[in-house]
Parts: sequence; structure tokens; C-alpha cells
Amino acid sequence: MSTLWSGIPVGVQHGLMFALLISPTVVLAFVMMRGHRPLPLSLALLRSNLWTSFGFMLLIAVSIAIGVGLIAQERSFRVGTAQAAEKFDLIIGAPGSETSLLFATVFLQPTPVGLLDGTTFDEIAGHERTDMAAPIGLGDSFEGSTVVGTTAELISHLGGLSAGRLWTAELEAIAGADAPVTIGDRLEPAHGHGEAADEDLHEGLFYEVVGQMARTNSPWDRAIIVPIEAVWSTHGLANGHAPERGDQLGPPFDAAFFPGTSAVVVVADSLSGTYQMHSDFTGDTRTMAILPGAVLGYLYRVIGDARSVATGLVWTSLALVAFAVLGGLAILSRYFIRHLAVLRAIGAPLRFVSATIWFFATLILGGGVLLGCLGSFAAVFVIGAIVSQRSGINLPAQFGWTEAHLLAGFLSLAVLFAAVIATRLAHSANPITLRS
Amino acid sequence: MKLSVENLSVTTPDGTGIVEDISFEVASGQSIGITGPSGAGKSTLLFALAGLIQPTTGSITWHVTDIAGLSEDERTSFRRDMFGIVFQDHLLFEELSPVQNTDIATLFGTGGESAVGTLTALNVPTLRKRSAQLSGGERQRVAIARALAGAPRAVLADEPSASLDHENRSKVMDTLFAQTTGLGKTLIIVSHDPQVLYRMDRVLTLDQGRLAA
Repeated sequence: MSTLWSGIPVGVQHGLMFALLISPTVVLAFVMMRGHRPLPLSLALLRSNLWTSFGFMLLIAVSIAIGVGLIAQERSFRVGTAQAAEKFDLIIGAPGSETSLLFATVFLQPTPVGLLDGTTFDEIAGHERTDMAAPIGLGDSFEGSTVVGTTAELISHLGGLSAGRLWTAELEAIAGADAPVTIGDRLEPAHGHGEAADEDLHEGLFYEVVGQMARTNSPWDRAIIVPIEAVWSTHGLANGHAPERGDQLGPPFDAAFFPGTSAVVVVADSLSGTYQMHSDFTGDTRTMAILPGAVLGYLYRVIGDARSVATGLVWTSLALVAFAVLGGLAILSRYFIRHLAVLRAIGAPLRFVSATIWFFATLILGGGVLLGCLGSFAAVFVIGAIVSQRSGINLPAQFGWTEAHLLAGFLSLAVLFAAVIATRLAHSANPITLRS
Repeated sequence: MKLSVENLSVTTPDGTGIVEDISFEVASGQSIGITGPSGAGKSTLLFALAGLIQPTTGSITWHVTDIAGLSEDERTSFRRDMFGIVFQDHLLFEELSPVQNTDIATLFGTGGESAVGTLTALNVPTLRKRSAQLSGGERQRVAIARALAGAPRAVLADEPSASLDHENRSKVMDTLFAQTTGLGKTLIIVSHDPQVLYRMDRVLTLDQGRLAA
């Protein structure tokens, strides 16, 4: 059976699971309403209890928006971060924390990492499987955007330019797609990041923006990229080249004049080359190589555990809200129980009375689910936009099968309980109570 | 539809008699009024005749069917097919229009023509969207029109003229009689109104649950 199931395409599996989870709702709707038209009466009940019904809907909607939003946001985070790391096959840095190296290089977070010296860089750049080795120099910022020192090769690897030209001098810069500067602007970098940044250290030093990078959907879109030589020389260090070649930009670098690099972004000649280099530069006391996809995979597993707990909590909260709402409806129905008794008195079958109450409850539950979906989509969209604005990581607002399964399961469970309550209420709508 | 009531008693669970040992017959197409002081058991008797209350003893035979012997579902079905009932408090669905209230039985599968004509005859503003917008008299008339919808074979009404002014009372009663006894159907009315009782073929007076002499 499990072999048969695993042989079905994943998309079809999700569709079948959704159909299975929503089927109790469909079957119940058929069983409860067959041959009857309770809609006008259910709507009448809804209108006569408008604000209470809307309150119940809102309660469900908020609960769903939080739950579904949480799950969708987590997926959005995974998609966004994976997208950001897509162009980074292999990163080599000084031994330390793998996540720090990843965060510093891919997400340009101001994270303390060690430096690699010129000899080590030469070893990496000169490795038989290396196609490209780009040093990364961090430390400065401008209006909250990281100033990254690297080589023109890395810019081409990340997607190249959308406008302008590459730098030809040390004090020329390339703006990321969402950087706060455009071609022709001049900028004076601050040393460091955030509130601790020293605005005066580089006083009088200006970069001129000469080009703009194509969008990468990564924090590099908010960065300002400068020649690595500029980062070194503006900090009073050698610029990576012997004095007689002091005007050179980019590789080859001279190990004797190489001040150090936080990380080296490596592109190997092939996938096997990437793994070979990962192996060659791991376990050595001077270097640490990471595969960003693997590090993210580890992070996702940790987040996935948290997600499982969160999903459990979401289910619990949804179940509690459903119970509270259905309990509230049962109490509310005491106010219209005489009208239900009238229906019985004039000959309405028990099933019609049950269907009227059930459909009334289902309108509230369904309305709440719909509002909750819209709310969660809005929340994911807004939160994604804020996070993207702050971090540069593109967080796409999208819903997946997990959310669809959650909503279908919730709706089916809730309408099932609603059917039980509706049937009990219909039985309690006794025409004897109509006697004045 | 002929009605035969024999030795009918309805008692509370603690054994107190509400209606005690009542017997009478109503011929098909006849109208009968039930009157008496408050608490005499008039509404209980009407509810028992409609199959809304199970008698403790005795029988209630409509044509050839003793409804006391039917199951709850069978009694419900019998009411749907045979009776139109007017309740004392009107008990309309406030959010439904007068026409929707009158035609409510069509929602659960009972066919029949719309009662818009009856509403018009009873001078009810049919274009109102909500019955909550109607006056007490208009609501009473909608309740009567609902009872007449679906061509019932008998109409049972509890104080149908209670909310009506003199002019409307005559008009409503004319319509009620025309669409029941006028068509050979049975009409049973509980009322304190002498002008209504005056028009009935027979009047039964209840006192402390028993038929007065």
C-alpha cells in the first residue's frame, strides 16, 4: 500500500489528501441538506444574530490567520533563504561557526568571523578544481547597507549588471538593486554597522557609484559592492598587490601584500569539484569549507522541529476556538429555539431543522476560514515585505498544501461537531414549548 | 376532514390534569370554537388536536387516523400534510419577508402554490423585506396566511384575532372562513372574542380542563 502511495506523484498525493480531508464536509453537506433548502432560514438566523455571528467568525479568522500565517511564513522563510543562497556553491573561511560564515557571506550580517591569509587564499584560488575564487571584505556600511569588498568576477557570477559599468578604479562602487544609492551618487562609508558605526573614520573618502547589479533576491540587493582593494586600503592596509602593481583591481593577488579575507566564495569546475574542494578545505586547522545548502538544510531541520511544535499548537488553538464557537452557538440557539419549534410544529422534518442550524454554523465556520485565509495571506505579505525591507531576503507570500490540509481538516472537524450539536438542538426544539 | 375525540386526557408528569376526559366530534367542513377562562386547558386541547402534545389517555381521530398512535415523525408528517396552525404569538421569522414566512413549508419539500394571493387578500404589505417591519396586526395576518398556505385540510388557530382591530378582524375572519369551511375544510379556533365565536358552527366551553355543560 505504502509502495503504491509513494509511487504517486507528490502533487497528486497532496491533492488526494486534501480531497480526503475535505470529504467529510462535502458528505455532511449532502446528507444534511439533501431534498431541503435551509439557506434562507440559515441566512435569516445569521442576520438576526449578525454581530454575534460576526464576532464568532472573527475569532475563527484570527486564530486561522495566526496559525496558517505562521506555517506559511516559515515556508516563505525557507524559500527566500534558499533562493538567496542559490548562487553560493561553496564558501571557505577561517575555522569557526558554519552558520556565522554563512550569515556573514550570503546574508551579509555583521557577524564576527576569522580571516584567511594570502597563502591560504592562493591555495584556494590555485586549486585544480577552482573556476573562480572571490575574497569577501566586510566592515563598512552606508545608511544601513553593507559595503562589501570583492572582485568583479563575483558580480558577474551573481548575475552581472543591470545598468552602468564595472569599476575601473578603487573608489568606484556598484549598487545592489535595492541599495539606497544610484549611478552617479557619491557616498561616504561609515566604519562598522548600525548604531555602533563610526561615521568619521572614513571622513573625506567617497565612492562613486558607476553601476547597478541585476536583482539577486538576496541581501546583496541592498549592498554596495566595492573593489576588495578599496576595503583594504581605506583601512590603512596593503591593497593585495605589490606596490609596482598598486593600481591593479582583482586577481591575481600577491600573498605578501594580502591583508586577509573574511571568506572566499568559490565556484568549482563541477559539482564533484565542489565536493572535492569542500573535502580538501575541511578538517584542516587553517580553513573551514561550507556548502550553504547543507548548512541551511541543518537550520531548516531545527526550524522544522519548531514548526512541528507550532503546528501542534496551531491545531490545539484551532480546536479550542472551534469548540468555543460551537459552544457559543449552542448557547445562542436558546434565543431562537422557539422558532425551530415552530418549524417542527408546522411539519418540518427533524433533518430540515438540523440542516438549518448546521448550515447556520457552517456559514460562520466557513466565513471564519475564508476571512482567516485572507488575513493570513495579508499577514504573510506584510511581514514578508517588512523582513525583505530589513534583510534584503525576498520572502514570497505563498500558500502550500500544508495550509490547505490544515484548513480542510479544521473545517471538516468543525462541521462534524456542528452536525452533532445541530442534531441535538433540533431534538430539543419541542413544539410543546410554543404553548403560551 | 372529520375529527373524533374520545375520552381525551392530558396530564402533567406529576399527574395534574390539564385536559380531562373530553369527547366530541367535528364534521368535515364544520367550524368549532373553543373558549373558557384562562388556564382552562384550551391551548393544550388545541395542541393535542394538532398532535403537538401526546394525550395521556384517549384518542384523537382525524378521518381514520388516530394521531395519538403515531410516532413523532409520523405526526410531524401528518401535520405537514393536513393542518395549518396559527400560534398565539405569531412566531414569524423576523428576518424573512412576509412572503418567505408564508411559503416557508416549500423549503422542506412541501409543494403548493405561493400564498402571495392570500397575503394580498389579507391586506399585508407583501413587498416588505423583513417581517420585523410589520405591525402586530400585520404579523398576525402573515401567521394566518402561513396556516392557509399549502391547502391544509384543517386549520387550527389559537386566538387568531387577538392583535387585530375591528375592521381587519372582520376581513381576516372572512378570508379564514372562505378558505376553510367555505372549501369544505375543518376550522378549529381557540378564542375569547365573542364576535369570532358567534360565527362558529359550535362552541365548546372548557372549565378546569373539562367540557362545561
